[in-house]
Amino acid sequence: MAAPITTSAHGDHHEHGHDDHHELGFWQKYVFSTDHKWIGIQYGFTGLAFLLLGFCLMMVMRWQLAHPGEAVPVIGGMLRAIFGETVFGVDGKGAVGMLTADGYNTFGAMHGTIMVFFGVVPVAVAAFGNFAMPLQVGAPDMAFPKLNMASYWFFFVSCVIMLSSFFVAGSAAKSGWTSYPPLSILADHGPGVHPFFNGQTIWLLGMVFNITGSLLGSVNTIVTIVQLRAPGLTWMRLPFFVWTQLVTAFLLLLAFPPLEAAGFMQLFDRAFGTSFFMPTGLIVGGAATAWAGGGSPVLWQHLFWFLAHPEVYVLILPALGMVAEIIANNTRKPLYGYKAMVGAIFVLGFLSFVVWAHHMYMTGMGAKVAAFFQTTTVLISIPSVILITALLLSLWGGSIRFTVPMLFATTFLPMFGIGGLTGIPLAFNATDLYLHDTYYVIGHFHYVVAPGTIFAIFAGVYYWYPKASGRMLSETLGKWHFWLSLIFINGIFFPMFLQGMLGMHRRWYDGGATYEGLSHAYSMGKTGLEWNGFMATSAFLLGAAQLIFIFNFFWSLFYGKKAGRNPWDSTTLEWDTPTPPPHGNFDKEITVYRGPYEYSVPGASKDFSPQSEPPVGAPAPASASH
Amino acid sequence: MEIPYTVSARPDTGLYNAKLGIWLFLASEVMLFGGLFSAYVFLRLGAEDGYWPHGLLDVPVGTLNTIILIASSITIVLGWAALKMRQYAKYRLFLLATIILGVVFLVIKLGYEYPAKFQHFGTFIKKESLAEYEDSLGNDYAKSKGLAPRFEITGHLHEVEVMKDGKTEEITLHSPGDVDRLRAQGFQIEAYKIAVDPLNADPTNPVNDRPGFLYHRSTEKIVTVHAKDIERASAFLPKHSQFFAIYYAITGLHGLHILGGLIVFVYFFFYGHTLYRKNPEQMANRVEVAGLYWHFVDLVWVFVFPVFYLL
Amino acid sequence: MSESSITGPATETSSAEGVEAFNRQLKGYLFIGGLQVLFTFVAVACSFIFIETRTKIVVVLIAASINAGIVALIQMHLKTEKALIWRFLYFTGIFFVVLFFLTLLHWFDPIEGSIIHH
Repeated sequence: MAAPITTSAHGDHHEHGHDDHHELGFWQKYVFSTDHKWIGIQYGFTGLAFLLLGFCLMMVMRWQLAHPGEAVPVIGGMLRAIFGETVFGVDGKGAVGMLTADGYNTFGAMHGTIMVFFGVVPVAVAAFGNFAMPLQVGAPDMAFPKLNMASYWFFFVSCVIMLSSFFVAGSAAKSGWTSYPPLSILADHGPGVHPFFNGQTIWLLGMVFNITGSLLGSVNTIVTIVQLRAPGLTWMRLPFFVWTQLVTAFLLLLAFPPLEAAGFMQLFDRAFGTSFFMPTGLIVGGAATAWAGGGSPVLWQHLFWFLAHPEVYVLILPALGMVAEIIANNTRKPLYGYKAMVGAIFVLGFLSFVVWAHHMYMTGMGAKVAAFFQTTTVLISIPSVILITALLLSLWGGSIRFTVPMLFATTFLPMFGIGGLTGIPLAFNATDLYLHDTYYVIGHFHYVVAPGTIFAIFAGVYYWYPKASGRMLSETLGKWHFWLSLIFINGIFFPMFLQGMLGMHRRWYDGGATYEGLSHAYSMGKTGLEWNGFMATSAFLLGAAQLIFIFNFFWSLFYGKKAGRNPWDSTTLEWDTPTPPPHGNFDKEITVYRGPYEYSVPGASKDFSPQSEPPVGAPAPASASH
Repeated sequence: MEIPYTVSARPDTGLYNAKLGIWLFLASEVMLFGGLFSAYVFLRLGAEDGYWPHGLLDVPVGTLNTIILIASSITIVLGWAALKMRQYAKYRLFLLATIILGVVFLVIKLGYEYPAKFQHFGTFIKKESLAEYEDSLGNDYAKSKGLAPRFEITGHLHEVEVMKDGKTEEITLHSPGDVDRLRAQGFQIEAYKIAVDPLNADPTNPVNDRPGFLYHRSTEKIVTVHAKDIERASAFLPKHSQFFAIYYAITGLHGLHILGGLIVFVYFFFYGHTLYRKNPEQMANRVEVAGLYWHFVDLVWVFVFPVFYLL
Repeated sequence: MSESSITGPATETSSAEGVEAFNRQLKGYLFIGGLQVLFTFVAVACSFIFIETRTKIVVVLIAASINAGIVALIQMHLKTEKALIWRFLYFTGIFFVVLFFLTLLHWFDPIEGSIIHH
C-alpha cells in the first residue's frame, strides 16, 4: 500500500519535549502505527476482506436455497476440506460439498455476524471515521493515538478469534447472529465438541473483544470531535460526516455495554452451567437438560436488542454522512437543511434507544408494551424521512456531476427509501405478526444495509481513495462496477418482499421446500421458492461485479491517474492537505473561516470556497510550526 | 506533532482530553453494570417465592471490604492532591496505600469469600418431598408467621452414601468437589449427609426467621437428604441458583475491574517518575484520570454490597 | 503553544503553604471518608431493623445512594465539573433508567396467562 506516512521535514530547533522525529521502523510505521490515517487504512483492508468473506458465505447459502440438497459444483470438495464435515456433507447423488442443515445455520449466523461487526462497522465507522474525520476537523491526529492503535488490535484479535471458530470441532456458531437462547446455550454441547473451544463460546469471546475495541474507538472519536476542532471550526461549520460520526460514537458507547453484559452472562450459562437465560422445565431430545432453569430467554432478547437496534443506526449514520458530503460536492451547492439534518440525527440517536422491542413483538408482550414500542418506532421514521428528504432536495437546482462517487451516492437515496418504507409494516404489531421471521424482514434490512450502506461505502472509497493513495480510481471501471452492482443487488433483494408476503420463512436451510404443500390458495399457488434460482444467479453475478472493483482498487494504486491535493474541488478541510497527508496532517496552520459547503458562492472567483481559505485580503496562514 | 489540550484545558469546554475521555468511558461502564443490575432485578422479580436465598453471604466481611474500598478511594484522591501540590513523596505513599488496600480487597474476596462459598453446600428439595424434611425446613411454622417458604437445606457436606455395582457405602468428603469425582468414577449418589446451617438445624426458632448479622458457621447437626428427594444439589457455585449466578457475574466483573485499576496504579508507582520529571502537570492529570476510574469502581461496589449482602 | 512546555515546579515543594494546603485537603477528605463509613453502617443497620421487604429495599438503597452521591460529587469532583460532562451524564442516566424499566415491563405487562406470576 503506497501511503507513506512520512514525518514532516522541518528545520526548526526550538525546545520541544514531544516525540522524537526519528524514522520509524517497519513495525511502528505499518503494524503498530499510531497514525489515524494508517489505522483507518488497516481497518479498511480488514473490513473489506471480511465483507468479501461474508459475501462468499452468502453465495454458498444462495446456491443451497436454489438447489436444495445439491452439492456445490466445482469447489464442493475444497469447501468440505476447509470447513469440515459438519458443514459440508455428501449429497444424494454422492457428490461432495452439499451444505448441511447445520452448515447452513453456521453460514447464516456467521454471515450476519461478519457483515455487521466485522465488515460494515469497521469500514463505515472505523476506517472512514479514522481516516477522514480528524482531517475534517483540522486535527493533527485522534485525541488518543496509542488508544487508537490498541482499539485496532482489539478488533484484529476479535477477527482472529472469530475466524478460528470455523476450524474447531462442530464448526462456528450456528444460532443466528442474534444468538438467542436456549438454542445458543444448548448448541455446540455434547460428544465430539470441546466444552470450551466450540463455535458458540468462541463467538462470545470474539464479540467481547470486538465490543471492547469499539468502545475505546468511540471514546476517541467523541473526544477528538469535541476537543480538537481547529480554530474557527464552530459546531455549525462541521461537515455533516463529522456529525454522523459523533452520534454514531455515542450510540456505540452507550448501547454496546449491555450486550457485553449479556454476552458475559451467556458465557456463564455455557461455561459454568448457570441459568440466566435457560427456562425451567426444558426438555431436549426427550430428556431434561443439565441446567436448573429459572432463567428467561426473553431477558437475552431485551439486552441483545438494546444494543442491536442502535447498532443498525450505527450502520446507517456514517453512510448518510458520506452521501451528504458527496452530494454537496457533486451538486456544487450547499446541503439543503443542514441544521434540520443535524437535529434529525440527534433525535434519531436518542429515539434509537427506546424502540428495541419492535424486534420482539412475538414474545408475548402485552398491549401496553407493544403500543409503546410501536409509537416510538413510528416516531423514529420522522427524522429518517427528514434526512432523506433533505438530501433529495439538495439535488434540486444543482450542477450535478455524475462522478462514480455521485452515482453511488444518489442511488443510495431511493435504495434506502425502499428499505425505510418497507420497514413501516414491520413497525406495527398487527402487520408484523404476519411478516415476522419471513423473507420480507430480510429484504427490508438488506435494502437499508446493502444497496444502502454498502453503496455509500463504495461511494466513500471512490471519493477518498485519491486522498489516501495519491491516485484516482478508474472512472470507466467504476461505472461498470456501479451499474452491474445496482442491477444485480436489486435482483437478489427485491423478490424477498414477494417471498415474505407469501409467507416464506427465514433461516430454513431448504428454503421451506419441505412445507411447499402448505401454501394457501390466496398466494395463487406460489410459495416464493420459485424466485430462489433468479436470486442465486443475481448473487453470483453481483459477486462477479465486485471483481471489477477489487481489480480497480489494486490496479489504480500503481497505474491510476495521479491525484493532486483536491481532485474533486471540495471545500472541506481534508482536501487542504498534501496528498497523501503526512504525519501531523497539515502543512500550515489551519483556521476555518466559513461553513463546510460553500459552493457556488455568488461573487467568489471559483465555484467552491474551501473552509480554510482566508477571505480575500486577509494574510496567508503561517506554515506549520513543527 | 503535538496533540493539543492533553494537559491544558480547551477554553470553550474547560476540559483537557483525558478528563473528557475518562468520563465517557465511565458512562459506558455505567451501562455495563446497569445491564447486569437490570438482569438482577429481572431475575429476582421473576423468581418463585422461596427460591431467592437470603443470608448466605458474610455481611461483616462484606462491610469490611466496603470500608477497605472507601479507604482506598480516599487515599488515591489524597495522592492526586499531593501530586498537584508537587509533594511527590506523599503522593507515592498514598498510591502505595491504595494499591495495598486494593490487593487486600481482592485477597479477601478471592482468598476467603469465594473459597468459603465453594465449600458450602445446598440442596433444593422437591416440592412433593417437602413434608419429609419438615424438621429441617419448618414450612408450617413459616406459613403461620407469613414468612417465605423454604426449599433448601444448606450446610457443610460431611459424607455421601453411594452405590456402585449394587453395593452401598459411606464416603467422607473433604469438599463438595469430590461429589463430581465420585460420579465420574461410576458411583451413584444415594444420599447426602449435611452438617446443616442454623436455619435448618432449628427452623422454628424465631431467631432464625431472618438472617443474623454474624455469619453462622454450620452446626453439628447432621441431616440426611436422599437423592430421590432432591431437585438439584451443588456447592454455592454459579450454577447453584440465580442468586449465585448473578452474584458471581457481578462481583467477578467488578473484581476484574479492580485488577485492571491496580495494574495501572502499579505501573504509575514504578514508572511514574520519568513523566513527573518531564511534565508534572500531565502526570497529575494521569493520576486524576486513573483516580476517577477507581472511584467509579468503588461506586459500583457501594451498590453491589447492599444489593447482594443486605437485601 | 506546546503542551510539553507546561511544567510547574518539578521539584518537591516543601514550603509551609504547600504542606498547609495539603493538610486542609487531608482533613476534608478524611471527613468525607468518615461519612461514607457511617452511611455504610447505617445501611447495614437498616437491613436488620426493617423487616418488611419493600421498606427494607427502599431504605437501604437510599443509604447506598447517599454513599454513592458522596463518591460521585465530592471524590470525583462532579460538583465542580464542567457542564459538558453533566450533560453527557444526564443522557447516560436517561438510558440507564430506560434499560431498567422497559425490561421490567416484561413482567408487568405480558399477554394474559402467558406468565406465571409469583
